[in-house]
Amino acid sequence: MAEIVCVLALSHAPGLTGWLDQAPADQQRRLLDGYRALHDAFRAAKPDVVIGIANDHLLNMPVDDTADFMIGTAETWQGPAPWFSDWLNVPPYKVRGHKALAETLVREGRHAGCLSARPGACCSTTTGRCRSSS
Amino acid sequence: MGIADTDKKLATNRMVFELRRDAGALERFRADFEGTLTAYGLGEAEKAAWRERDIGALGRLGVHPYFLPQIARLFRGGAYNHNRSAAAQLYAATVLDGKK
Repeated sequence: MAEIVCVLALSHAPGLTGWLDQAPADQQRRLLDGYRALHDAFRAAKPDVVIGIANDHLLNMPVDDTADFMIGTAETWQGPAPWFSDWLNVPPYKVRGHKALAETLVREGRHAGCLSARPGACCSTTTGRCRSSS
Repeated sequence: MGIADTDKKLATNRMVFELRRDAGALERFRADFEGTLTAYGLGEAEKAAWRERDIGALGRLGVHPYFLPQIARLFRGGAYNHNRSAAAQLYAATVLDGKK
């Protein structure tokens, strides 16, 4: 049985990386202090795997065909998506996925009735078709 | 002009979705603006709004609200997109203030 060792939540507005210098200095300082505390908590927890939950920004699912949930099952993930690159001002990155765990979530989610079996609701490509927006 | 007013089948919604995902489509949009509007099957009211860069009008036609500031970025760029940036100003003028 897996153990949840840490739960972190944070905002991800584009200005955090794209134009943070436009915020008042005290807000910048408090924000960065908060992120540093999250970083330290994350490192201390030493997780084996991270499950990230975010919104899709209509990047992978079109307006007329959105699933309630999409579970990415790719071997690797890359970002930012080119469209968001200059906006976010984040250097390109690539991170490993955990395909086996992701596919377990898909399978068990279906069994539990939490996920539909609709084709296209889950991404399984390694080509970058499913992109992280930030 | 909220999410509930989105016309999910509006051609502009499909076009903006694809322009953001497909670098080739974005290149074609920049090289052949009118041809791209036609290729995606935009109606005359949509085309007129695009020609006028009237993002507020696009919202009233049913473009998803999340896409509206991104349309401003299509015209004015996305880098350093703070409130006084060219893209944010275009969005503010046509959506928030209702002026072109």
